[in-house]
Amino acid sequence: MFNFNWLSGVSVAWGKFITIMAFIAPMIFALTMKKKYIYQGADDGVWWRNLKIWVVVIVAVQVAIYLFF
Amino acid sequence: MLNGIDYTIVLLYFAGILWMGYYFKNFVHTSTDYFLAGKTLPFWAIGMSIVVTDIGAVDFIGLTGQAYRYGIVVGNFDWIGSVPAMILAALVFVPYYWRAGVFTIPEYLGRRYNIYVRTIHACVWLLILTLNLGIILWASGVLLSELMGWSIMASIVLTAVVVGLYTILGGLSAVVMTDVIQLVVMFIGAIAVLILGLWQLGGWGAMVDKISSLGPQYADHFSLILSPNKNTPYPWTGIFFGLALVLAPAYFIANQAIVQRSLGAINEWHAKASVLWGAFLKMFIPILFVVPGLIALGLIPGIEDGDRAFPALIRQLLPPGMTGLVFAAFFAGLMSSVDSALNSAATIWTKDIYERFIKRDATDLHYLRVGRLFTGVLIIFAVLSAPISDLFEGIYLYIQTIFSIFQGPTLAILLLGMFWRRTTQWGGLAGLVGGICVATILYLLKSTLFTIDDPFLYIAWWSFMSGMIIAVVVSLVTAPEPLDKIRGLVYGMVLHDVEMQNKLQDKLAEE
Repeated sequence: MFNFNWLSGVSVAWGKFITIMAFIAPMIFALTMKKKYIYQGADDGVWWRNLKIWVVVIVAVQVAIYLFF
Repeated sequence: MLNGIDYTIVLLYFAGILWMGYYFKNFVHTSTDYFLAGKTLPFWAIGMSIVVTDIGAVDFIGLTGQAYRYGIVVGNFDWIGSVPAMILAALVFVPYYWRAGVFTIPEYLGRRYNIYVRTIHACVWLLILTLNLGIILWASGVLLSELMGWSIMASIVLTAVVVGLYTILGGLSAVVMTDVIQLVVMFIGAIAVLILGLWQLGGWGAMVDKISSLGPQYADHFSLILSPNKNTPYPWTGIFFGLALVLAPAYFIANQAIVQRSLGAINEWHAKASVLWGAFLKMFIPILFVVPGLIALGLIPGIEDGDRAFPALIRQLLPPGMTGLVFAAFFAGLMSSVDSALNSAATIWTKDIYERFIKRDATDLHYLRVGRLFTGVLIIFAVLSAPISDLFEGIYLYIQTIFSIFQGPTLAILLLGMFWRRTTQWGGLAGLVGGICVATILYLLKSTLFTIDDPFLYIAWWSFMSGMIIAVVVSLVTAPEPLDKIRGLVYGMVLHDVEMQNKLQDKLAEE
């Protein structure tokens, strides 16, 4: 049990899928946040201060890396 | 190994860093200025500081060496082992700490649970940070001695004097702003190694072909996801459950050095953006420090000890001038680790031990002086204790072990305290102590319970689960906390309580 032997039958492909979902899940969570909360404290409402865009860019790069390797 | 131009570059780097520390002294007038940079830090500086705090001089050698032995799978520590946790830290936890108005993680735990939890957490952190300082200094001194023929103690004293001076004078502002320079220097040095190495190998494709031709044992060197059935310390199950779900969130959510930087931001948006900017930069770390390990394997196969790969690569690749730059980058990594540990330890000592148990209600100037004095005492202690590291083989491993034993249970009670109102002070205390006990037992029995040699990822997961279960059970059998006590400390009651937030804004305005 301690060695996660019960997961030894899960393929590497599924391992990759689960790992990629670990990136996607926080991104979806971020996308559901209210605009007011995301911009809280910002000097103005310009597009690049939208932190949701930052999250999408970061996750897109990470998913591409995990798909490739 | 260094010639005149290399020494000039290293000396210029030292002079520049010292000047910055002296410059930022002018902005330190209160304890908030010293510990939280007067809440004036922009997101880009904090994000760069977070990254460089995480990557030390030893990582230059360690990451490259691990990549030489195990391949690109080591990159998981900076990708899946950082990025998702940093996104959650940025958008959930940093705003939470910001709005709760705390200085330190132990301070939060003390307010949410009780003085025992706060003191245990503060003492363990203080112990780890203090011992770690001596070890970092010694490991780097040994490395410089092997590479350059310098005296170990001379390297240690030189580093300690420079870092000690700018940290004592400038506090968190100096730490963060020098970290910015250190990150730039580190990145330039690493990029130089990367470009020259790939150029000499004939490009990425040629490197893959070269390593693949070395034999079947290198077949997984370009795979990020490895089966748990393989004999590797980094199976995907350990990476996912131990690293991504426990150690990474514990590091980015419960680590004083990381949280303290974000709390020094200009406003809440900068605090959130700083961690996301850090996550963006973090994505480059495996490219800059893991790929050179693969380059070393392609260029110089057959090195017995992976930790020798990076020095060997420098010797083979870099022309005069460039070597000085990489050494400046090495010092940058060393200093950024030492200054962060110093500043965090001084904050915990002053806020959680001195102000709580030794002298309450003193003037702000008094606490500022205590913080500076403790920073000075700590760096002297680190220099004097550094040679002790040499007497105990594997002491670095022991410290890392203590650290990982502590991480899982801390994260468990932190999450429960934030998100479940029913968690009681006794549940928190039992979860922390019980989880640490379970982790210790697992470590002592690791050779019989686990199939891999160093199962710290699995132990992190099981100690987290144990801490969580114990805290829940004990909370359910003890009396609930009064609403007044937990007001402003549980997630919904911090972020969405208008009255609480108005009071907090008034308090911050008074400060």
